[in-house]
Amino acid sequence: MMHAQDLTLTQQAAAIKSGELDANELLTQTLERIAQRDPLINSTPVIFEQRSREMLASAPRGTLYGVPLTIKDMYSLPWRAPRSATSGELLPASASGAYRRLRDAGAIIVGVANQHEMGMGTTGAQSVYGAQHNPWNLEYCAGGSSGGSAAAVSAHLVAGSIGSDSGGSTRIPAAYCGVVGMKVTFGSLPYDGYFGITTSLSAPGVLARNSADARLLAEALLERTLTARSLETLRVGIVRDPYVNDCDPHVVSAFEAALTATGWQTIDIEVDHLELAGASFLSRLVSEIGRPPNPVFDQLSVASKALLLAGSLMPATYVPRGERVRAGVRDSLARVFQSVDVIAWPTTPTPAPPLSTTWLNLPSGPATVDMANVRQAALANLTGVPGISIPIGLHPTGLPIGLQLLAPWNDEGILLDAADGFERATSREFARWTAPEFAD
Amino acid sequence: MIGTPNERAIRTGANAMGDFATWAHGASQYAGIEVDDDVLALAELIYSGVAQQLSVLDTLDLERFPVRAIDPREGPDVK
Repeated sequence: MMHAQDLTLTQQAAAIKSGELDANELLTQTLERIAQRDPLINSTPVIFEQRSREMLASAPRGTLYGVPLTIKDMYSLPWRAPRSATSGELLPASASGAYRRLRDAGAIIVGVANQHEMGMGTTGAQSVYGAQHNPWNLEYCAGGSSGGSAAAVSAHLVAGSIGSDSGGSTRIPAAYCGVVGMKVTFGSLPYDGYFGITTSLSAPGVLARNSADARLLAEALLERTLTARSLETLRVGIVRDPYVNDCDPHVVSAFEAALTATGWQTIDIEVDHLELAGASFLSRLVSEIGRPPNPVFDQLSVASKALLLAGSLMPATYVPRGERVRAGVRDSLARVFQSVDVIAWPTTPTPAPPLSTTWLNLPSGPATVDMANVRQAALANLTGVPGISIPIGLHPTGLPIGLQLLAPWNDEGILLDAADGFERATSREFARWTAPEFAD
Repeated sequence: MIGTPNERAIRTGANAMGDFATWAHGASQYAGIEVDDDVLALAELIYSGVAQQLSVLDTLDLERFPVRAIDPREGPDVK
C-alpha cells in the first residue's frame, strides 16, 4: 500500500476532500516518515505533534485542508520564535503573515525546516541543527539557504514546504534536490513575523515536487488564484553570458535539451547593465544584513561572524550608487519582458557539490560555491521579479540539474504554466522523480 | 571627548583603515562582540572581495544612471 507521503500535495488535498484519506492519519504517517527518514538528511529538526494536531482540529476546509507542510526557521509561529538556524530566538513568536495564509487555507505546520545559518549560504552545510544532506547523495549538500525544505520535499517527508529567497535561497536548493522551487514577487504577502522583513531583496518561496503542487501552495501563500493556462508557445529569452556560458558542460547540455523538448521559441537577449547588477545587489545585501543579538552572534560559525563583520564595515556610500544601477537594471528587464514571456538559464552552474566543498571550477576559473550560485540567482532579487527552478535532468554524478525561469512582476502564473508545459513535454518524467535512496 | 560614541568609533576606524584587523577588532569591541583571529582573517578576505566588486560603482556614470524611485513589488513603467 502506498505511503500517504508518496502522494503529491495535490493528491493529498484531493484525497482528504473526497474522504479517501483521513487528515489525522496523514499527519500520523507524516510524523512517522519524518522519524524514519530524517536522521539521514536532517531536514526537519523541530516537530511539535501536539501543536500540529491542534492546528488540524481547528483547520478551515480550505484548499490545503489537512495537508502537512514544513516551514523554514525564518517564520514566526504562534508557539515558536524563528531562529534562522542559530542558537537563539530572532523575532517573537507570533502568527506571521506566511503562517496566517497557510492556516487560513487549512494547511498543517508539521515541523520547522532546517536551513543555512542566518540564511547566509547556498549549501545548507552550516546550521545550529547540523548540515542538511542531499537525498540524491547523502555526502552532498542540499543547497541553501532553504536546504531543509528542499530535502524534505525531495525525500517525501512532506509534499510541500515554505522557504525564502534573498539570493536564490529557494531556487538553488530546489535545483540541487530535484524539486520545484518558486520565489514569489517581492512584497506579495505580509512580511510580519518573517526574518527577511528588513531586506528589499527577500521574498518567500514554495517548494514542491511538481508544478501543480507548487501552484496550489503559491495560491495559498499569495491568496489569489493562479489560473492554469495551456501555453501554445512561449517566447523564452536566454541570457547566455555569463549565465549559460559559464556553467558545467553537462548542465548546459541539459538546459539546451530541456528547451528543445518544449518546442518553445528561444531568443538570445541581453539585459542592459547586467555587468553592474552584481555590485548593485552586493551593495544592498551588505547594508541590509542585520546582526543578531550578541549572545546569538557569539555562537555563530566563523564564516557567519566574518560575513556579518565584513558587511558591517562596508561604507554605505555604495548604496545610493547601487540603487541607481538597480533602477537601470529594472528598466532594462521591463523592456526585455515586452518582447519575451520569460527569461531562462540554468539555476546553478553545477549540480550540488560535496558537503565539504566550498569552491567550484567553472569555465571562467575557480569560484566560491556561494558566489557562483548567487550570480545565477540575484537578478530576480535585485529587481523583485518571481523566479522558478524546475528539475530537468541528471548530471553524470547522479545529481539533479535545474532550469531557472524568471517572469514579469506578479506573474507567478506564467512560471507555473511553463513548468507544467515542460512536465507535459517530458511525460512528467522529472516531476515523478524520487531519489534512489528513498524510492520504495 | 568630542562627538558621540558612534562618531568617535568611526574616526577611530578611519584612522586605522590601513590595518584591517585593528579596525575590525575595534569596531567589534565597540559593538560588544568578541571575534578571534580566524574571524578577523576571513572577514578581511570577504571585505576585500566585496570592496573590489563594489569598486565598479566608484566610476559610475551618474548621468547615465539617474536617481529614481524603486518599488520592487512592481515593475517600472517603460516605453
